[in-house]
Amino acid sequence: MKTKTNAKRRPSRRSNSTASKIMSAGLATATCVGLVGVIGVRTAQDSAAADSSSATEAQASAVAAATSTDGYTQAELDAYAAQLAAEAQRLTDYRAQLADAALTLQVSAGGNVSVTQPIPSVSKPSVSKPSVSKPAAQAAPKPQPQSTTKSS
Amino acid sequence: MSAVIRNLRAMGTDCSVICYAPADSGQLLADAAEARIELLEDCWSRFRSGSELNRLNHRAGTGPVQCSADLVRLVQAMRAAWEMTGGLFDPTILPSIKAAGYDADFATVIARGAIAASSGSLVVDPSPGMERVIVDEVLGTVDLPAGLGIDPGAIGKGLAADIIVDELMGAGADGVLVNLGGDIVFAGTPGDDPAWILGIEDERVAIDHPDRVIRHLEFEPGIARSAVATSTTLKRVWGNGRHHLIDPRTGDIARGDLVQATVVADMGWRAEAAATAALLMGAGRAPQWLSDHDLVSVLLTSEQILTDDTRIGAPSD
Repeated sequence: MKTKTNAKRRPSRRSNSTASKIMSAGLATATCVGLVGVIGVRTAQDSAAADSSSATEAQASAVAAATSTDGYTQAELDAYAAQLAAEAQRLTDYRAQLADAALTLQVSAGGNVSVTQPIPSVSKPSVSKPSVSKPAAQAAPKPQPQSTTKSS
Repeated sequence: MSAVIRNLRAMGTDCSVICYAPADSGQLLADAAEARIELLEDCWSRFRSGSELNRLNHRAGTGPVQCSADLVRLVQAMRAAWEMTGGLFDPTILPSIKAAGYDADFATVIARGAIAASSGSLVVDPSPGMERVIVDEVLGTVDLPAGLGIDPGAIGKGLAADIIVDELMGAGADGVLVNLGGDIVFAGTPGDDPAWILGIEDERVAIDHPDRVIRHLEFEPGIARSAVATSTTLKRVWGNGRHHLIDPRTGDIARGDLVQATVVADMGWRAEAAATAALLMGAGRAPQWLSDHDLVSVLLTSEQILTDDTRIGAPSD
């Protein structure tokens, strides 16, 4: 299939009349003024945008350097989180150490000992009543080598 | 059954761990206990600049702070102790105790002689209390109001001993005793011994005096957990009659008539808080308050020994 060409000529936009030329010159001038205006506006906008951008960057760096909502930089918060993570790891290592001890105990006991790590409660007092006595000349059997008084 | 005994220096005081367990596991459990003491001291000490507690204090006024489970537990215990004692055990005395000169490990304080320079009268205020300290156990956060700092005082040792005893017993030990500077917590069975026996020493007399031990406390073996804590104004003393006990009602050094209080409770932190409160209440009020809270005690004034003989039976000679 052949491509058909359009046989009609487009009408020329050019006009040779003087009035048209004057009008064209006027439009061209107006267009130039318009372009200058547009360019001027754009330049001003670019300048403003650049100012705005640098202001935003300055603001962003100020946030990074000074505060988050609680007064700490992101770097400080990251360091704090890393410190907490390191401490959590030490606790994990300790738990593993405790579990090893429990396993050794289990093996030596030759039975199935379940390992639990109860968390002390902070409520509901219930006291085991001790018997209290003055130390006798013949003291109580095998006292523990513990004193309840402070050592400094 | 063998006992593994470890004596060590930690938390600014003399400590010991006694662990009853079969075979070599006692040694391993004692190793774990030492490691745990170090971890807790790193977390809670106000004398270690990088401790988590100090970091929390530095962030007072910045909103909720993410904390480890151990620190959350400590602050919860502080708050519970403050409530139990009607505010007499008050961790917010931190500025007062620093103003009194106790702003470093006690050995350091004595060594540098700084206390001598602060022997004048203190400029102090009543402590603010724990009311505005917010603990969120679920989120693991603590929120301290601006300008407020907290000092666990001796309940840190009591709670540390609670935690270690529970964890070692949870690992399978037959019996454990942890003594952190006089805050003693124990559980289980003391090997072949018929009872846990603790001696209460009288700080009013010399350490080698024959009457130094004034009472023996005996506990049946196999108990779940029990604790004995002693607080005294006769130790950690410096300068012109100063000691570590601050009265939160005044913010000044406490000046009561009791010089030593030993309290038995189910947990170390509770025993310690009650002993501190008893010293602040004085001989007129403390015995009744302790009795009301079902706590056994031995109290000393400068001249006499007060104990609740009607509940615990007459001392035997």
